[in-house]
Amino acid sequence: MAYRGRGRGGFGGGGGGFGYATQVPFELFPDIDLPNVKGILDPDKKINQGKSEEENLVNQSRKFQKIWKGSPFYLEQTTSKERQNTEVERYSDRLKPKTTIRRGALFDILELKAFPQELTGGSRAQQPGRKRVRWNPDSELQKLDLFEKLEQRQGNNDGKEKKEGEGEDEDEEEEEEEPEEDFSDDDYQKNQDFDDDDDDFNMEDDGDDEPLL
Amino acid sequence: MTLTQYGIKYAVHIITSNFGNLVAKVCESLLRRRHLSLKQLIGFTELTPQQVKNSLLILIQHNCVQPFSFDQSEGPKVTQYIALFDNIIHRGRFAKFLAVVSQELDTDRELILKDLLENGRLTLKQIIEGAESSKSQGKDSVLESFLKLVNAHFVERCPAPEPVLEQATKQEGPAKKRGAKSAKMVEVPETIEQRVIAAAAPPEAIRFSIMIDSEADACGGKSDNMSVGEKRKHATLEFDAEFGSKDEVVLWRANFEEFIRCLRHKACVENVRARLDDEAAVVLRAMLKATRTAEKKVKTENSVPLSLNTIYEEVINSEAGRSLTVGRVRDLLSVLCDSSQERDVDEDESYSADLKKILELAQDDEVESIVLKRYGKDAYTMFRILSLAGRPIETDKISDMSQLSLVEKNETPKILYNLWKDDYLHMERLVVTGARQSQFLVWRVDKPIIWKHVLDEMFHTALNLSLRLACEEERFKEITDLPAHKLLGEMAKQWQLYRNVILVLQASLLKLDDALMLFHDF
Repeated sequence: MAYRGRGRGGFGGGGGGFGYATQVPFELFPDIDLPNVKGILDPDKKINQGKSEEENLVNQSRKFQKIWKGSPFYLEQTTSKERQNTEVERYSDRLKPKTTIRRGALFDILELKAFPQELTGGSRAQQPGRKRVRWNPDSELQKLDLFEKLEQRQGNNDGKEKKEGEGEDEDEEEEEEEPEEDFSDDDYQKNQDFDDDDDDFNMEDDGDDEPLL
Repeated sequence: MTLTQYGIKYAVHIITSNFGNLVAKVCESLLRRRHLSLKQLIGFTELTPQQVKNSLLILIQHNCVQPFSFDQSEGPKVTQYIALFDNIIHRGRFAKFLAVVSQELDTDRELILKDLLENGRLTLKQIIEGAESSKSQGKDSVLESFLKLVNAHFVERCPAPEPVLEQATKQEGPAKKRGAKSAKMVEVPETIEQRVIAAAAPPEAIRFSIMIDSEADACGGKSDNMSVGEKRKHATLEFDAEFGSKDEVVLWRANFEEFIRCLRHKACVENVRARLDDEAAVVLRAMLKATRTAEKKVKTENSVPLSLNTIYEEVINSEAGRSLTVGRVRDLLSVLCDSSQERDVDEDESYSADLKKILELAQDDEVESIVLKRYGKDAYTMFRILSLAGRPIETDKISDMSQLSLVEKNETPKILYNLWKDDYLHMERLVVTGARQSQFLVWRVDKPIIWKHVLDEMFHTALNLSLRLACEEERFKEITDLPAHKLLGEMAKQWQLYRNVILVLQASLLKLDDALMLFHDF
């Protein structure tokens, strides 16, 4: 009986002695000999187009999988540039036979009236479908960055000057100039409220909280 | 049925492979916590509100999530979202659904259904556009195909976008056993999921009715009213408000219920063929085909009663049943149908097949084959004795009953212990107090518990198969990306190996899914 670590054998009480388990490299999916599954790789059982029923089911399942992977319904945590590039339709593609309706972005497919209003945002339902842009997970972060920059600028101008980016579009991706840091108002420079931990407000420790030995 | 641990994991894996990890994250939260509001979902998933909203839109579009709200007298209405586990699992069966349509109707109808399965739910206009763009089919032929699908109940109207559910006074639990008087009453759905589905479902009167005038833009302004099944009752204005009035768009989707019913019937027929013979299978198929549309729910215990004449007419209409005589059909029916059923005295006696019994026997066979493969012939014999007995049996009696010539008496407890350890048997210690105190063990097959355990193991296996499939896809990626003319020599061998690996894994998954349906859907 092989077992890990030291100790006696388990159920049945046998298997004495000490020993260590031999270390075997872990393999998640080891290679196996393929069984010749009846009706799949069996050349006798063919129905249409020289394929078995199972083979047709397998092919159809894989087609569905491919379609969903390439559709606007497929959302991943990280959006790579590659995935977005695959959406571009080439001139040569127009001659290729289309198996399904190419329904562009997510909001072009959905009939927004059939969803709860909190998901569609109420006013969105009235907008024409074509103008809806494809959802970008990074857009939320871009907005936060923009607001942060605007806040900094407002703080520096003491609210006297109007913000430059106010009239611009929210989703503008142009980088705005970072304002130069001004240390004149800083507490550190002025040395105000500076506590060197050695003033009258610090009471002397009388040591009464020390543990008694 | 309560969700099993691996059932949830498998459902999440299906959503991940179909719609990506963002949507799967939202779906997993819903599966694990029954139903949540948008605010709760954002909190649990830690995704941005827009990500959660988009994920929910996709899940609702593909009939994997149903929004609803509770009937509240005070306070604002809060929309809740519930994941529909069965619909998620059905996503792996879409190829089977298409095969059902091509067998029942023909391949032209497949195209419309394929589009609906790919996109979840569509308007009639979108269906027509899709069929026209992909195949040189005219509007009329598309409409005709669509009508046939709705007539056959393979396509239905979508449920209400947000049904209102009455707040349950007590927590949902198993339904109480009813007395003889109340047995006639319609059984109240027990889980919240079932209650939501029941509340959202359109009434039968309009579920399969096509109002062409309300979708005039789709059909070039036709005003004729084509109704399928019962005509829509105009008196009830509530229907209009909830299910597509003039200004509202009517959405259509594949009716999974009908496909599962067809697959259930097919499973019954195949089991009868294996247990009895081809002739019995022909008779049962004829019975089920004649009464399919009359069945009210999927899990019907007995088929709709039919007269001998009607059954015989159906039998001789099929190619395989032309040679059967009335006498032979009557003999087969007496085997197929429950002998305890009361029959009319006159000639036109009615017969109803006991589908529940057929499927229970199939389930028994499935579990017994698992025990045989995993634990050996002796364990199989013991398990079968206990399964057929249906009561607790003492260890020594099992040894005597099994008459195991090769196995010694002291081996029996070890085999039984192995089965008990893996949850295939239920064990109890009985203490007998007499002149001297003695204790002995009794064993029994507790079917509901064991069947649930078997189902969970099947979900586990399905998950492992799917993961292995994904792993193999990744392993052979560079070969699959190569163009056909570059697949030469060693590469061609590798491609052939890849093809065989995928075929075996995917076909095994489809076969396993048949067993899953037997325990979960049928």
